[in-house]
Amino acid sequence: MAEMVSDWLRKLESNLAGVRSHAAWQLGQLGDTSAVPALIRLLQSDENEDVRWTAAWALAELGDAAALPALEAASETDESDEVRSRAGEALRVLRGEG
Amino acid sequence: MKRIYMDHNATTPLREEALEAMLPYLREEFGNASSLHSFGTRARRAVEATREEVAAALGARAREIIFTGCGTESDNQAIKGVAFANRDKGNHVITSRIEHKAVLQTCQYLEKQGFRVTYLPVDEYGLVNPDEVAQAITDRTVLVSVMFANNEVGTIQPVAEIAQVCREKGVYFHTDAVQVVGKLPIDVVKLGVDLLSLSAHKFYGPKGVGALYVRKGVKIDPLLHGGHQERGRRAATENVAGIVGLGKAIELRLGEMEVEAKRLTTLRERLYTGLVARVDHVYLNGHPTQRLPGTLNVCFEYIEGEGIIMGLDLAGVAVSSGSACTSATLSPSHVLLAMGVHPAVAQGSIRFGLGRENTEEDVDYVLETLPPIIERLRAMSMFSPQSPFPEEAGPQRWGH
Amino acid sequence: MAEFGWYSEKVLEHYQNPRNVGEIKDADGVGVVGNPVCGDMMKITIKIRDDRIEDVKFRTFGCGAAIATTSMVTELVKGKTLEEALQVTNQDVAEALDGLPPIKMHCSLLAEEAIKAAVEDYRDKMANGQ
Repeated sequence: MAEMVSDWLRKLESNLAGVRSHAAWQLGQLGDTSAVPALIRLLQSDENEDVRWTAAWALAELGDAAALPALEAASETDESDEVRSRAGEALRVLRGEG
Repeated sequence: MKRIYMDHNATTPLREEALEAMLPYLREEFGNASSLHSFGTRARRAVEATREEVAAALGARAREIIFTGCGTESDNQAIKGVAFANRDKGNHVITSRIEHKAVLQTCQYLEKQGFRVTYLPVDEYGLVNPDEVAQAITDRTVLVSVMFANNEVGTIQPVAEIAQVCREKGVYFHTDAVQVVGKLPIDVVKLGVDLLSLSAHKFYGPKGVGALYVRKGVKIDPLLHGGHQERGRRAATENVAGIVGLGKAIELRLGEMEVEAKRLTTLRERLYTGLVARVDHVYLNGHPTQRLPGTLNVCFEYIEGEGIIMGLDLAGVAVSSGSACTSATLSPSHVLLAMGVHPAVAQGSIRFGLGRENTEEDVDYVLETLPPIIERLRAMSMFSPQSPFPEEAGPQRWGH
Repeated sequence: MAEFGWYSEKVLEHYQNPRNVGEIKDADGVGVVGNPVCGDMMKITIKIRDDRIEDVKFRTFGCGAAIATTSMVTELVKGKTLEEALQVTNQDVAEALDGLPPIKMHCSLLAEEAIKAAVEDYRDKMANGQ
């Protein structure tokens, strides 16, 4: 399991957005919260909307409160309304608001 | 090739009788209903006659019916109108997570204007819990808005119970009944609602006209300023032809609604049972029985909806989907997600909206044509029962 | 004449008769891009001989444009050298399909990346002596 997480973490560095968005999805599913810092970075600074959206989704799946500040910021200031909305949903999930 | 329309929740064909009723008002009876001369009075008479008809159909009084341009406008009018007019009482609005965008985005707009909005969750059938409505109401709440039946999955809400909760707490209750009017009988007094939206093109009337029921006594600001029409509540030259078409359509529905409801329920069950007998990994979305007669929303696991729509369209069948691709967004249907459907499964959703013209032959044709389409898409997909979406598929409470 | 939305005849053709569907066992390179929660996902597997793409197969979870673009891109790279394959752009894919609606251009981008990811994977494996 740990090996797979490091593989996907490496793929987060790909210069292909599609690879990054796929890796973010995989990390969201593997349930290993060691991926949270990397996903936060992705949410904050990836240039691709799909990637940031998937990062927000993955952070909700991983359920780690460490992601709250980044999700709050993204829900207010991300330039994509899709990402803002997804980050908002993630916040609701993490805060247990159902 | 026969063209089969199964997207009646999106819109319905304008029925012949409604078109006939409208024609004079598009031709020689073109008068502005506000004009004092004979051209105006004839138009005025047609509008008021329709108003009486709509009121009777809803169990309301004529003066409580405002004609609008569409369901979206009715929703905007109801929500913004009540929120702004009652600001002195409070700034809190309650709605649900599965409302139509016309309600959701209006609420999001209110949030930008300083209102607080509670978006209530739903269960796996898409039902709002009246107890949760009661718990969410505060002394700052001015409006609760919950749709009568959902346009995507067809689930019918416990509107009477929610209305009672609101009445007990002294809060206005609005319901978007766009998918219910013309399909099921409605009595606004028995239900106890304060405001109700409807739209003509959902019940075989024309596009571009709708109505809003506003119970006498409800404090509400107009949305459109600029004239005295509709007792000063909706300025704009009336769409007389549209209104007449709406009236004719609703009058005809009253006569056929009950029989149609039974017929469509039977038809949709034939479609559903036929599908699950021929295709596996198909999931029903929505309540199994407390649902609009003609609505069937299912997820086909492991594949994506637009691909299915395409295959059906090429075979002459029109349906819609809750996938992200079909709505040009990144997220699949917010309704399905709120019901706990996994996003990857929601991507494979298809909505059938059966209507007056659909027959058993239509359903049987779909049962013949759809399974090969699903098979072909599944053969192309990297997902399958042997290689599933890693998380448990099917209805589950998302995030819990 | 078949019609759907704003798709060209070529797109419809590839949707109805996709080329190279499947997965190569013991592939030399595997490229996976996208994900099923936010749109389309594509998986391309390649077999390399003498620096050429001898065989290529795809699997796609996605809309009509996603299917057509992956199908087309496999046609465009089959038999080409790795360098030539890396030159194939999403514009080439879209043009080969007689154009895509603007809102679907991102599918062609994903298809371009899927090939690049597969080639990258092959080169990584070679570099690591596999």
